[in-house]
Amino acid sequence: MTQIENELEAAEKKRRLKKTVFAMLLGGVVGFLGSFGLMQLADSGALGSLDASREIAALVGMLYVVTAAAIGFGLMSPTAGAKFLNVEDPEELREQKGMLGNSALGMATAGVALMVLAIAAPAGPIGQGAALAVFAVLMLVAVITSIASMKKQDELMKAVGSEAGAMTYYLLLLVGGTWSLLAHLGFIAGPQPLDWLTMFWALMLLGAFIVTAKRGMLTMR
Amino acid sequence: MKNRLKAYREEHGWSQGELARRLGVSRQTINAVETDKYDPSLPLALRMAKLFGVNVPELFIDDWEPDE
Repeated sequence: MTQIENELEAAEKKRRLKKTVFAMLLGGVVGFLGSFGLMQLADSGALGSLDASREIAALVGMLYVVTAAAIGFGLMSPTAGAKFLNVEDPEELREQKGMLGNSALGMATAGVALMVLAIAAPAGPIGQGAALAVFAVLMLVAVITSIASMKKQDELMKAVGSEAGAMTYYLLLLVGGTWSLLAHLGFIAGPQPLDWLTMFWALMLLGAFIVTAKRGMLTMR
Repeated sequence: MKNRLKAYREEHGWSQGELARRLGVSRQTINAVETDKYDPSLPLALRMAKLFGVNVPELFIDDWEPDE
């Protein structure tokens, strides 16, 4: 390899590292602000008296919404989006607009659906019937947009999706199974129904993260 | 699996986006194959080989040898 090629490679590595650090910092700041705001709102009593299960469910739902918002913002402003999303340039975001747009919408609605359950009666302000109806409508939208997104995916994304699904199943077995086992034997309190839903949502995200990381696809381009 | 996709692509003067468009896949897929993060399906490998006018083993390198 010539000296010029070495210098170019070093510059490229530096650019990727800078982009990775920027994206991580941005995600951290936005995540912190969102969590802080939600906790402030919960502490004010505006969302009723939420226990730990409900607070964690609301936070996980918010994580979905924040992630979806980041993708949505990136799609609306590809030049800015290419600076923190894992794409080569703004044009790639335009190319993937249909797939990513539907995916972001699905994530946002799924996140809001979990948040609605977190603040449902009797502890929260939303009546049980209304919460069920809103949840059902939001999840219907999430399913429709996810299918629309899937139809636009190529074989790599489909492979990652399948692996993430399998990984989520194993994580659920590990986390939910261990928790249930220990509760069954009387060592700890068992998961509440909302905890199971939170685990589905959270572990789906974690599963996708692990699979992407294992493939080395978290490295910024 | 190691491959010579990048070399063949550059030989043809195509960008990753151009190759992706010709193959009907995303740029991310081309990038993932070139950086050994993803082994393409057999149909896609065949399409790649056909596009470059070579055989699949010339594009994808497998060191495995059968036992004597």
